[in-house]
Amino acid sequence: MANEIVFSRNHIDNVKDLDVYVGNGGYSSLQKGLTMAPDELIELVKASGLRGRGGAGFPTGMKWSFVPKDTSKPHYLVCNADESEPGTFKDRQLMEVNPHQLLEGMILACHAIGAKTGFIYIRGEFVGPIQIVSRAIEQAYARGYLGKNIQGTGVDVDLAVHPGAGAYIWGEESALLNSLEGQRGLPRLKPPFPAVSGLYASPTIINNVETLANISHIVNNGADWFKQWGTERSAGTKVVSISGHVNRPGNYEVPLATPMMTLINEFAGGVRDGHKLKAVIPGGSSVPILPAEKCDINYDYESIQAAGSMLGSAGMIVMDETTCMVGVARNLVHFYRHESCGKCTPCREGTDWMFKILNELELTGGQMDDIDLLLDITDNMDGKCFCPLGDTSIMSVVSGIEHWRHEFEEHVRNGGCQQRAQNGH
Amino acid sequence: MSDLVTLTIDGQQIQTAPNTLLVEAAAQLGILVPVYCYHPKLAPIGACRMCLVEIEGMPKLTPSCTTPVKEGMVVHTQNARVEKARRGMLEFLLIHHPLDCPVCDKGGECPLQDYTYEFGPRKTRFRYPKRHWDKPLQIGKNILLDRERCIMCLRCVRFCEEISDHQQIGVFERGHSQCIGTVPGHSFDSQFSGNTIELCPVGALTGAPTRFFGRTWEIQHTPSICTGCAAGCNIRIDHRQQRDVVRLWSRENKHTDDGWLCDRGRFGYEFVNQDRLKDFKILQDGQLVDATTQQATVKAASILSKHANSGSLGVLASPILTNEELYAVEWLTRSVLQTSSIDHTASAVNPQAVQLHSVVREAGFRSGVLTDIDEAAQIVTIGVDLSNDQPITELRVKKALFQRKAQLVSLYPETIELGRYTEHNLIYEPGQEASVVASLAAAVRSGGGEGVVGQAARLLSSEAPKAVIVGWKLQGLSDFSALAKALGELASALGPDVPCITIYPNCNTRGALDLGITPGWLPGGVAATGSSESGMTGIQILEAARDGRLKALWVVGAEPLLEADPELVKAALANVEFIYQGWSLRDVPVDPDVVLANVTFAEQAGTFTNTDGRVQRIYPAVKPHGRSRPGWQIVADLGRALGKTWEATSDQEVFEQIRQAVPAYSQIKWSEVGTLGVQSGASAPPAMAGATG
Repeated sequence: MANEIVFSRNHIDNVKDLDVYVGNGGYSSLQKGLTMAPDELIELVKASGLRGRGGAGFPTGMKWSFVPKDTSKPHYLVCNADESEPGTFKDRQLMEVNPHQLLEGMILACHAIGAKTGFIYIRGEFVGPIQIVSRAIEQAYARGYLGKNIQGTGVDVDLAVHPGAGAYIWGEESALLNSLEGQRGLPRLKPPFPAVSGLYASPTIINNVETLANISHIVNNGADWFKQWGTERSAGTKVVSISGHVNRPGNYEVPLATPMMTLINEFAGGVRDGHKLKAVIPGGSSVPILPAEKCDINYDYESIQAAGSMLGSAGMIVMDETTCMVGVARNLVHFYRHESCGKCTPCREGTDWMFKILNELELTGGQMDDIDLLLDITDNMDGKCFCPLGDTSIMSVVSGIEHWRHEFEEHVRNGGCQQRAQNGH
Repeated sequence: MSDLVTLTIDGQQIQTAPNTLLVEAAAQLGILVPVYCYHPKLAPIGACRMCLVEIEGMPKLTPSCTTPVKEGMVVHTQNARVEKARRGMLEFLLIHHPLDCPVCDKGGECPLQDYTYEFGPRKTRFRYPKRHWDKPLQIGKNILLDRERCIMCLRCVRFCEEISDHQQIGVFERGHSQCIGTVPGHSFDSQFSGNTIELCPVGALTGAPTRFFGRTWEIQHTPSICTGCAAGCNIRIDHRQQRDVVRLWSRENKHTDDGWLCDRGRFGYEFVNQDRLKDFKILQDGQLVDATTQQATVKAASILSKHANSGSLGVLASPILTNEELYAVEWLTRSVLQTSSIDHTASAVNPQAVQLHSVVREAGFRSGVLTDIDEAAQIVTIGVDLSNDQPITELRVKKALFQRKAQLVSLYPETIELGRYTEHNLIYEPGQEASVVASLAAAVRSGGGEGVVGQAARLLSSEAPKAVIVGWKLQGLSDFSALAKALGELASALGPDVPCITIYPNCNTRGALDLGITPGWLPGGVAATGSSESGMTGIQILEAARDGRLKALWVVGAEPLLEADPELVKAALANVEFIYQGWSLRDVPVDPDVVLANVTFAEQAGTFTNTDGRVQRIYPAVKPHGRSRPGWQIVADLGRALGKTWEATSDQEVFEQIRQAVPAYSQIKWSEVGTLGVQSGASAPPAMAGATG
């Protein structure tokens, strides 16, 4: 059972073309959805149990309901397509293969929150998706699926693509808004939350690509249909990006609560030949690493949390026994150090310091007390940073030392990474 | 008040206003929560994370600089968890900090030092090379940047965004490479740049003119008043053991400066340290030679007495002298020397000796003060470019525009800095002031009209509270009476009780007017009658000296000489017996016959009256250079040499005499002037010299 919802049309040749999309049932939700009262639409999405697919997993219908009803300001919908989380590549495929599904969801979401304008903020490096989505928008305007009085329903929606300028932090929604406004893309102080004061200080809802891609299907088929997959708290399906030491890396849409080992062994074809599973980062680089013995769980929000990690953006990075966990931490912390916006002290300085220590452990071994120093630095960062970037930059270090402390100690004793030496790095 | 919020901080209960930030509520209880990025005059950003506190029921520590109080909140600022976070944050801030405190101007008054001492780690655990930047960078005329010391609180950038809107510096790069820098193509030459030195909580921004001024613990502070313009900004003179002035610092007074200084004022103290007259001098055989105080006084007195009571003497007294000095000069000039040609300015700006603040009152405006700007929703500036004419007041107007969305109407011959913030720029040909003001008044009365004037009038015809600001340059109009009439029409069109603030040029112009250092008025704004009536204005005095109609000049302070055509000044001074009393000969183009060494404002006690009529005290910061003396003492000596004894042994006694002479000052209690000053009352001198006859 796979590809039930957002990937359900992926097999159709050239479904990114409007005619093909419409010919396969595309945009059919508009007549129904746009004639529903906005509140009704919000209630439907609430009832479906859909949770935000960007990483935080916040219930989508509830988020929509936070938009104030009594404001004279325009409302905005922003699609967060700044997919930058290491190990995550699902939104790219959703946009490349089936852009109209996203637009259809955005039209419905705009109607639900009273927005006449929506922006699709696409990661700047995604040149292909930027062109494909832009082309889809042109087609949709030409055929009356965008603009004034969409399909005679009286609903007006304008959509535009905004290419990002190359920073991971813009996946954080308030930093994205600053960037979209042409400001330096730093995260904003909350409250006020974007639903009350977001883009141009107006009520704004920011949703992930995959979240929005689900909407038309929920409108067409109803909340109960959607809830046939997953669990009570993790309804529907999830596109999981599987990468790393597997035979068939790629995106797989599966029902939530599919066993994680099924994802690895069946969908991704198992760990590469002759090797055995060592660890999995289940939800993108910002979540704790799970050792193999903790991977016998269902892939849903609550099960992964119970195992000590998070579903996050569903970027699953699979590692076999050849993987050096100090190297993993060094690599990931290097990423966060590079992407820290620099606004708050602990993230700006902590990521730099952690990297320097990990780099020394990896290359020349460092000192034994560096390991506890690393943990103390993570403690001084944990929950103290301005935004989640800093708070999550410590995950690979904390879980790495928790489960593989002996590897860190061996690095000290051996004067660096043996594996690296063997591989001639 | 029932709408107070009650909460508990460190076991102490406090009631405070809603929306108070936790860091402020803690401060109200006397609890120190360390901060770097937080500043009460800037919007909070929560970036430095120094102020994290624990709120019961919240899983994470919370920044107290961005979190408002809530009813029933229980807050801990000093438990082990908070203290560890604080220590950790200081450690993060210090890992790349150069720790060059021994050569840092900030050392001794540095919150990074202080908090490290109080809360920080004692040893470093960071074993790697520190970040290095080229340093110091001269990013503007007055500002040096040391990016190694910077802790990224962004107070400087936020000041330039939120307060001055001179966005010449910004943040570049990101993460561990992030730094402050100048916007490409711009240097940091904002005239408010110096404020960032004070805002900077570390030694990252230091003053180029004040670099290596000394160690802060060897510096003493004396409250004083800036002499740069008529705003009367309160300052602190920093000096080394009363020897020389090393730095001027802000001293917040909401009536005048609101806590800021402009660079012209902040760095304009070199005249106190350089080219100073240390001795009295007399001209002998064409050479200026040092003389005893008595020799010089006797010689000056003999010149003065020769020309007393004859109409052949002119007196120019600088508008940056203290009230006490000006009062003494006025006494000697009118009462002893029976001379009526006395003025504080020789510019062409006030040829008719107008008292602009009285003109606007007679026009029907209320006598305004600078703080009226804080209440106004609509601000009208007429004939004044605050950027030049009173920079610190421009910041007050910007605060009204930015924070309260007040609206501005500007009447000026060109687009002014503040014109950027309004569509209502009424730009006119010089000389058209009266007709522009009159047409605006007419348009307001009719509720609108065509063009820019009509649009401005539509705005102003609403009920919103207003403030009008007029500048001294208007005094120079040849048809001044037409302007006065037009101002009257505007006042009646805008409605009752609209305050009008008068912007004067110098730090004691208003005092000079109040004390009769202007032809046609005696102290207290009493119109001069009889023989005093025919006194010449400053420019007339210089012309008469050049033409031989005056035989002697007594110039106290060189400022009036700088306002007139240099050729005229030279010709005038060369053609008369010339007594110069001042602190430097730098701006005196002709050797005087007698030189009397006067102290500057930094070396004496006294008072200045700012543009509003606010009387503020200065205190002696440094010792007089050589044998220089306060002007009123020199004048008292001259009086004695002329056979007239003037009883005053202290600046306070002189001020008591001023109170007797000037009704507007009569209610001022010396003891209440303190360091923040007292507003003088509304005296009512006639607006124009000719008005009484």
